[in-house]
Amino acid sequence: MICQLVGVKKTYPMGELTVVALNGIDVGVDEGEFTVFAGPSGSGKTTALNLIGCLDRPTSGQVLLDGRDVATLGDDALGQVRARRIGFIFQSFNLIPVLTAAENVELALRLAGLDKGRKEKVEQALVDVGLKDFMGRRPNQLSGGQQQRVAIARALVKKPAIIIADEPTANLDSQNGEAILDLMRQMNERDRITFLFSTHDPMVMARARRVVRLKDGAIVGDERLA
Amino acid sequence: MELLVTMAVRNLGRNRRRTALTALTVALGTALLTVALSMVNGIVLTTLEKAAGQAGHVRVVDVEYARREQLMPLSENLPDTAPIVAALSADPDVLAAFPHIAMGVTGCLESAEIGEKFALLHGAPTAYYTDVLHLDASLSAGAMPTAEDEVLLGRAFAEDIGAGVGSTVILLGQTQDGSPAPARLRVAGLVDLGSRTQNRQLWVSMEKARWMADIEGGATEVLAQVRDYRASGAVAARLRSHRALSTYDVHAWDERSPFDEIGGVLGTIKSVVAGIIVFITGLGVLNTMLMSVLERTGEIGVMRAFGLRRRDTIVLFFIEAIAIAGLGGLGGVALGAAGATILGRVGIHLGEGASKMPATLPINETMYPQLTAEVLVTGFLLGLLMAVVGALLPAIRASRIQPVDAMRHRR
Repeated sequence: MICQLVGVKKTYPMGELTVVALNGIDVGVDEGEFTVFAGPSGSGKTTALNLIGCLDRPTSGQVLLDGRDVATLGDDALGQVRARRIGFIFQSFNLIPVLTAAENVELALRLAGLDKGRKEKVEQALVDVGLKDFMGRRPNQLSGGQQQRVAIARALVKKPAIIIADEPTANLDSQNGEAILDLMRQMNERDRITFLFSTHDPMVMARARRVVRLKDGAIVGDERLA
Repeated sequence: MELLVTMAVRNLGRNRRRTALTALTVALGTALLTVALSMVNGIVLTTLEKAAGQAGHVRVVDVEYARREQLMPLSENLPDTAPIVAALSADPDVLAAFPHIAMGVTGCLESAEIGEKFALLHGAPTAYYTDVLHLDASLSAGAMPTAEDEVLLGRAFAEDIGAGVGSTVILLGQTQDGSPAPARLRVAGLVDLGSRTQNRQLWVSMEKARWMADIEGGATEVLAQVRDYRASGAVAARLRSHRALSTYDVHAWDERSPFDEIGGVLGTIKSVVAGIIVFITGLGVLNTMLMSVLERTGEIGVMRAFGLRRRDTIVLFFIEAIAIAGLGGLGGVALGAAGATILGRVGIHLGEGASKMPATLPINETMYPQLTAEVLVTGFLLGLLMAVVGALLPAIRASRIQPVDAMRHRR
């Protein structure tokens, strides 16, 4: 099992109230999965992915990555785990506006300290997502679909163990959304990279091999699809 | 680091108006600093050098005279100055040494009654007056005295007693044992030293002063001029071990009151002026940098998500701040240099207050800022400091951004 949430609870203070985002969930993910965390807004799917992606710490319970509890690591150590082991694809692409497509991809390698063959890796990643001719363009010179492809290249270039994709098709039209999903599925099958999505988009769920359903901070379904 | 520099430089172009505003803030701060430091330098380099020259870069007096100096006790004199002058002149760093007598006198026109018009009388060789005090260059009327019975009057004293060039004046001093010492002298010239305090002095020949004080062959002090007035302390220390000087009080100009505290006071003034300007300019930089951090919260969060360390986040903002300060600082130094140069030519009138300074600390009523390479470098470096001060808080704030918070902010 590549990652596991064990009895994870996550609460947020909101004024005088405490909001329970996750209420003691247990879930494990194996290497090479293409899994969707689905549920309505406020169900806790993004919180679960943030915890697996080491972006946040649980209020209680354990987050195990390769069998190690990452919740105990310091900020910079956690940053190193993210830099080397986890790739992120965000709903709003979140490319760095002052960097070109190639530099955005290169950023992930530099922050991970992966300097060997950097230029070649960047070029290959952009070729893989079909953006060979757009390497020198800045995000504002690319369409939404192209920006998300750059984000995918950025997530993939360091060959992470897991890619966390937070509603990756939410800001794309259906044609671009499908193309992006096909691309990710292709990477998953080719490189055995684990993909974890959060979504309530039926198109994404239809392409998943496993759907974990959440509601009110609890897992209410876990189905493996053919 | 290379990527951080690239990003920092490109970030400057994202909001050009804000970058320009920040650079302008630093430029104005640096310009102000350059002019302010030049002004302080003007006081240091002109007034102090002048004061040091007048006081003697190195001075030899009787030990008892030094102890009771404020009373100017003529009885505690150096009875034979020739061996002292010889010992001082033998030092390679000493340009010249002059015996000098200073005493308080009252004066009036020959036809008037002795009143309460007081002045400080100096007696020294003519070379001291021309080569050290440059009185010949400060003549406003008449000429330098050529005879023993001639005197040079400061303009204020001349006005007080109604004397002019060619007038005969009566001066009443004291001998070293307290007897009255009157002298009848012809006014050869009038001197304007730039302030009323300084212009309440008068200058007679060495012989006449010795006669008035009844110190034949002696003086109250011997003043030595050294090559570099800033090295006076070292020269004085060396001279103290000279056999012919060992029984006297030998000290540099900045080792005696009021000069001994001036260096520290001026240093403090410089620091306070610089500190205030750096702080105010830093606030301007802080404002724009904080806006920049707030705008880029999501972006910083993404980079933190990808593993950007806290200290690298701080470095990123510091590089941006220093790049802006570098541009602003260069512009500010150029602007400040131009301002200081113009003010250095036209001068800054300090007002009547300057005239009230003691005669031992002559300050000109008009001060001329002195622009030096040190001021330019200091101005530029403090410009960078302004940016560092201004960027510190925003950079720390940026480094504390948690990726998950940034993601939420992004939405």
